[in-house]
Amino acid sequence: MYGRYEIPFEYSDDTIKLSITEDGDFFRYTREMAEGETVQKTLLTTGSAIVAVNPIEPVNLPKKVTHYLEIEFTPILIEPEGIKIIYLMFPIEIGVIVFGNKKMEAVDTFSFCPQKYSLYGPSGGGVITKYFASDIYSSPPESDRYCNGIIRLEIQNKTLEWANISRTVLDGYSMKIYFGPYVSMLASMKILTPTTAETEFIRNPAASDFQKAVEIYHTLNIPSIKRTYLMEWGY
Amino acid sequence: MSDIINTTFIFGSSIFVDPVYAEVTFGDILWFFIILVLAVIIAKIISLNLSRFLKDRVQKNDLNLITKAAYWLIFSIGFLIAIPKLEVDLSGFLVAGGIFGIIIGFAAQSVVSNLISGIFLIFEQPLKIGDNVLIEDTHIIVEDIRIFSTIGKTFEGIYVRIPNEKIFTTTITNYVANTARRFEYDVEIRYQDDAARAIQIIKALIEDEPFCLKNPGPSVFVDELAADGVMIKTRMWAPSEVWWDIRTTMLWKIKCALEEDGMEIPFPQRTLWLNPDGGDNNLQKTIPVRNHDTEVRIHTCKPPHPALEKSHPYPITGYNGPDEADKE
Repeated sequence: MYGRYEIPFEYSDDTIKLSITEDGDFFRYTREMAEGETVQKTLLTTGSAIVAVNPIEPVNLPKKVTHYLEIEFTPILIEPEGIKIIYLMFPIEIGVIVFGNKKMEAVDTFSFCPQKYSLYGPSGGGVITKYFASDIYSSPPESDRYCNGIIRLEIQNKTLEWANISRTVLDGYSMKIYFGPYVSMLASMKILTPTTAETEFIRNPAASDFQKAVEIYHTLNIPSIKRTYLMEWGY
Repeated sequence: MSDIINTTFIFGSSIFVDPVYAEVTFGDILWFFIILVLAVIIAKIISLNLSRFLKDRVQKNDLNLITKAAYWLIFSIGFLIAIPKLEVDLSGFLVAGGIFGIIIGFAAQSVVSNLISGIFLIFEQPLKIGDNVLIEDTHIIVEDIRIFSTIGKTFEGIYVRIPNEKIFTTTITNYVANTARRFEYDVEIRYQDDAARAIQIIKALIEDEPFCLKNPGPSVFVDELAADGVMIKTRMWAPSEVWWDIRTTMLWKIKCALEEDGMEIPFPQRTLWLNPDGGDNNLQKTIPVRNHDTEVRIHTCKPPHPALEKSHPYPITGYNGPDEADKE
């Protein structure tokens, strides 16, 4: 399903049917899910538009209320000044993105994964997060690339104490998603103090055969400024 | 070339060169207004483009503040450039401004008070555009925070203007200032229903709802053994942005799920124990068996069953109100 298509196009498997068909002067986008959900939209384009179907930042469904992703896992202890790599799962949202005249727009977003939200921090100053509970893996686990992606998280304990970690919070505006045999993200988490940590995405694919997904969250690209998220309410 | 000569000729004519008062000519006054109009046009263009550029990048409230600040800054610069054309000595403003300020202070106390309150509101930000707030008894969605007043809309769509002074000095309840908020239901089930099972069903429903937050987690517990049934308190958190949608849908989902499992919301009811052997002086109290065959339940919303009336050892006289005797 993932890839770029020239319209009109059609894709179907056991779980989903995607199509953009020509209907007179219009193009009709249709998505039919196996469980019966159907979405239809009309595109007004000359027909030179390109459609990309790929995983997008998983913080949009069922309604956009945040741009943070929180992954909770069984607590792990990391030694003082230690560096360790772990693998976690994250939920996948799939975007159907149309390109025309150098501009892009997400036509549709859907997911095969259940959605859940959470609050990181206090209700007064914390942030709403898209929540996902994952196991911890020492190497990339088997995954359904339409449902779960794999995030390689490098944890660096910069403190002089053992750190107990059970969650990571990542900012959707800096996510770099790649897809190939599985959907992948690379991120780092630096433990700064006993209550604060800093997370950041790494702009690299897991392997050379991975393809970069089209992102729908964009910021001003200022090369010297790194976009990180400071987890100030514990980890 | 001829245009330049014509322009020079027009601005060099006696109308533009002869002083109107002191050394100020009609041309100076014209230049003053031209500069002001240009400043307004430039300010509008810049604030409009700023608004377009920042629309998706900053919050609506901050965007409003930035564009207004940019507009008034450019206008002020234009005014300061234009004012020397009128040969106005700005230092004179200091003396005149002081006296003028005292007069204004007395004459327009409430206006100035609103102005000052508006400035403090902009910096303190107890409410933002789009917030759902209760100001005294007025429940509004904030649409604009202006320098003298705040504009809102009630849920019925009625325009409301509240002076900033009132907002600044009164209690404001902002329902969406915090990221998340809690709401609760009292769900009552019959005594014969399994409360533990009901709690399990409600918790599963909350888990399935994406916007019922994982943390802080929900709280579902038996809160009261009430007159008509077991009261289950159900508390959950949702993002402030969507809490009303969730609050209005979850209760019905809970009701339907409980009913699907065979549980019912109890009607008001009373249990009567009737003593078949003695009068009031010789009551034998027994603990009733929780069995429907031995229990006589009379629903207050239904008339007593005729069969039950026959089995009574003493007659029950119907009472229809204080006028009963008059009817006889």
